[in-house]
Amino acid sequence: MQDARRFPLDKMIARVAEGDREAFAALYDMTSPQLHAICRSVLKDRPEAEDALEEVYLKVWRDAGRQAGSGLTPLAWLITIARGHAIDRLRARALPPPAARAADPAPGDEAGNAGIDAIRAVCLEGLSYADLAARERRRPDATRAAFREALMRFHEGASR
Amino acid sequence: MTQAPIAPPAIDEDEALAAELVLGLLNEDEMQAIADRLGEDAGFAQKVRDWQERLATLAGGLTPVMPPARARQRIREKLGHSTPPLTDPPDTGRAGGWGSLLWLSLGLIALAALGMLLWPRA
Repeated sequence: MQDARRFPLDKMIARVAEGDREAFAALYDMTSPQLHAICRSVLKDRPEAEDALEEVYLKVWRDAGRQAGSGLTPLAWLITIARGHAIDRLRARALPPPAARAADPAPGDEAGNAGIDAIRAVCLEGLSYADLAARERRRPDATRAAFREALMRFHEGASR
Repeated sequence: MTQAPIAPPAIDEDEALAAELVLGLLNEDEMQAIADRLGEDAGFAQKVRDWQERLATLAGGLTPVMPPARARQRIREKLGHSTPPLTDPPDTGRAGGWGSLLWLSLGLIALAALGMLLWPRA
């Protein structure tokens, strides 16, 4: 176990793909707090986040063989599965997500921090454009236009 | 940051679509069109992967939250991994201990129920 923990993630996932239960357990121990945090952040409901986490790891067990060919780093692969699954569950609820706790962004400040705040809210809380428009009290098309600008800035910032 | 007006950046349509796909922001029709494209357009597929990496960094910045032990146990049960412990083989620690405690309490409950059946209160 201690040895398994020291394996890099990609080796661990490769072993999981071969059906190695010990590697799977080590992978779970190493990554579940992170993936659980994502499920909690998106779903905002402890029991549901726990269910989602469970389903995420069942999927990881099943699909581990695909990680190597995914073109993603192991952690991004895991996070993508967790986020995708949590957001699918959120959308399937067909209820509006809990009202945003954060203060509404100051109008006219979207070029600055509000842009990254919106990206964080969408990425980490699973907001849709409709949610974002309601939160920012804007028309949906204006919301999308502003969000896309924020994405471009984020892209430039991240690749700099 | 600064108060100077910042020119709005030019929107690279593919970059924006790739990001929106990863963020789950596209509607059904847009998703359909993109699904077809992903298989054929390697450049676009790479953009999608790049956004998955970028946004994973954001999600990876969340403070980790330890899941309860039962989550681990439930996963093991669903996968049929519950017999061999996740710890080192000689370790007969927690998992076995809790297991026998569970069985013991279930046994006691069954006994109590049997008692109530056999000796109903006057």
